[in-house]
Amino acid sequence: MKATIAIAMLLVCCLLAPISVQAYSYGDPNEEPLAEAYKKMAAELNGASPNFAGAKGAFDPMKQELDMHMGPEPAQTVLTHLEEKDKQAVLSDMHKILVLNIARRMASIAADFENYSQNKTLIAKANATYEALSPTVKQTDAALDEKIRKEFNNALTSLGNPGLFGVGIKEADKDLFESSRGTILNSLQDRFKLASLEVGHFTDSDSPGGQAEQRDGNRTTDLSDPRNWIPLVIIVLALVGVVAYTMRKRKRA
Amino acid sequence: MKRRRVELAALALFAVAIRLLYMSPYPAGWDDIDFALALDRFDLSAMQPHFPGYPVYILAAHLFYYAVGEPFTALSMLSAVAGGLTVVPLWLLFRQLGSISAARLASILYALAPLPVVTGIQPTSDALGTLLAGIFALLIWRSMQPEPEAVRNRTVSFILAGVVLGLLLGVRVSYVPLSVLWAGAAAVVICDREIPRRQALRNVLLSAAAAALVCAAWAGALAVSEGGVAPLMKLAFAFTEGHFTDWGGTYSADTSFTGRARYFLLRQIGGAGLGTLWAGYAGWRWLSTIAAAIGVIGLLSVVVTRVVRKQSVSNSRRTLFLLLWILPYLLWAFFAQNVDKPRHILPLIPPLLWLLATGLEHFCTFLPRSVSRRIGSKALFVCFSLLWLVGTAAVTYPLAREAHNKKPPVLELAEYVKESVPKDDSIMFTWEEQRVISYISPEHQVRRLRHWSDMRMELLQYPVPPRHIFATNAFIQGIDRSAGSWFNEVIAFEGSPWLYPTYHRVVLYEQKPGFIEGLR
Repeated sequence: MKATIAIAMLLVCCLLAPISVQAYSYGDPNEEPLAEAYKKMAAELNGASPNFAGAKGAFDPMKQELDMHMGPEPAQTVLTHLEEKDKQAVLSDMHKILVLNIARRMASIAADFENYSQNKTLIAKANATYEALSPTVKQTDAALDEKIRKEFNNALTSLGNPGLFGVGIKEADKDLFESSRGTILNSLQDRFKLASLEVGHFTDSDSPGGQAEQRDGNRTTDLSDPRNWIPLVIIVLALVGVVAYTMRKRKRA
Repeated sequence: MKRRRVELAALALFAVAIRLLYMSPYPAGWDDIDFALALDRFDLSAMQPHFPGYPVYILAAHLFYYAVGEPFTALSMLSAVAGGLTVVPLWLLFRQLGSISAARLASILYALAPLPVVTGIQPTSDALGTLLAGIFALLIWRSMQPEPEAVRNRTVSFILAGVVLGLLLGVRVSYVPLSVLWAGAAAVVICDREIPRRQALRNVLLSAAAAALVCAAWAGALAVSEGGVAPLMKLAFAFTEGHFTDWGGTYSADTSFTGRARYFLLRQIGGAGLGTLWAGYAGWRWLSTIAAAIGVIGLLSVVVTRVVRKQSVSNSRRTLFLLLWILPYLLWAFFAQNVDKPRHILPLIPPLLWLLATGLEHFCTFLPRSVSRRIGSKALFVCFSLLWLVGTAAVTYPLAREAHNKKPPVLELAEYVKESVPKDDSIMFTWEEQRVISYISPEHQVRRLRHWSDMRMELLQYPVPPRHIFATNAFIQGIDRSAGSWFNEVIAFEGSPWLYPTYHRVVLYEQKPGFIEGLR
């Protein structure tokens, strides 16, 4: 028995050692850096006296990414207006860039609509971008803000859901997505007075964070897809296996 | 034998019935909303629910969700059924561990004690987790039995224990320290001379494979839900790397070790778990405190007399089993879990209840001859048991009644906000209440934040700052600068701290004039 206790204690130590002593923490994996940068800029500019140096500091890290996805023109305009210390112009430029960013995220979703895991992140990033615009929209037109939020919800729904163990599967609906995308972009284009959303180039490598992304994710949202049933089948097989094993042993005894 | 079965069925029915009668199908905090949203649309990256996903729990909740159609009722009903049925494996296990009367007392106490009842009526995953933990412990004990004629049953029990362990981890990953019990049983099986070495190794492998297979199944289901293994891994890393650590600080890390130990032992295990005395709460709690104290004395006296007489302290297999059941999880809950939330100690309540009940029984037989002869140790034990049960029920009853009849303070706040706070030209700063308010009233602007600079940034997003700025007490206490003097109290909501450990008092404040000017 002493040996047993020794072995057990050894196992206790082995099992506990790698578990880092850390309570669970929670977080939001769907942040959009551009939206965060804008919020910092807006705060710098809307203070008691506008801090253009601070706003430039928040904007600079974004320049490279903006140039890559929207061409050099938008970032250059912002920098020029920052130098001219024209607060309203900077904010208005940034609003337009945020709208273009939403258009860009939405275009990436439409281009590879079956890629559920990537699109979920993209829609979250588009939504986070809108959250940054929302205070400006809501203060002048609360109804429009509500309408856009509703459409973002619809857009998320339109991506479908692979469910859990085959429960709660929802089909993807490209028509619903396109209609939400149209409503959101048209409303924002009108509200922020953009001539066109076609500025910049939208490359194939466009994906969350601008990095090449895993694209072979599971694309199913379909009950008839066998992959959705694998987990349940494995559990059932394990249980059946145990029962069969028991019965066989019983019979033999 | 048959009478015992009827007795067990009656106890289980009673335990389920009181939980169903006092169901509290309301969201009391962040996690409850996560689970409810997960029933509608399972999406880990949107925290529906939060990582690691509770896949087996959500799957079980779907059974009830189909039947009732309302997420919080479904979750509470699952808690009620699981929490009540927990007495079945406990009864079967306790009966094998010791005397029938101690087993009976411990099982009835589990049906009535405050924490098992509270977790059995609220929409959380703890009740189902502890049901599986109870079944797991029963199977492990069976697989550790020495009787040679029962080798076949032991093998089956051990493999089934692997399956249940896999399911248990799919309900609450945080119960992983209980798997040390499995390791202990594996060691016993391997060292057992009754079983040929090869067969023993095969049994251990089969059981481990069963656990791994079930875990793989639910992990696979999570990967499918997230759209692939790579996205799931990415999410897991983002979560565990502490990428988003701005959450923390729910418990005061600055309290000393002894302060924390005292709180953990006396407030959470004692006061919340068993209904014993705690600062400011007495009354009926005296009964359970005295009973528990007698139980401890009884246990100690057993150990001391055995040591004095140089006997082995106790049945060593049983001691090993209890140690492996209690100790790893106790250390884990103390060092790694949020000490503010008593529900984390729920899986410890069954073995502790059994130990105390056994201690009480020993105490009654050890009492000076004069007393026990006159009354009889059995009658004495029954008397003590009844007093303990009455005391426990009297502590639990008002809690269950409040949980059932009154909404949690956070929900009251959310409903007040929906009714009485303007949704335009207003913003609200909160901490975890945000999740409940946004669920009840998505139209309101609610921000969860902890830094003065973040709040300033949020307010300066508006071309004209919002006219109404609200804050909650959790925000004002949590923010990194003293902010209380800027706000006036609007309304306060209160509930029992035994039901709502961190958000039992929720206060809504509105800013005083001049706040924005000062902020700029």
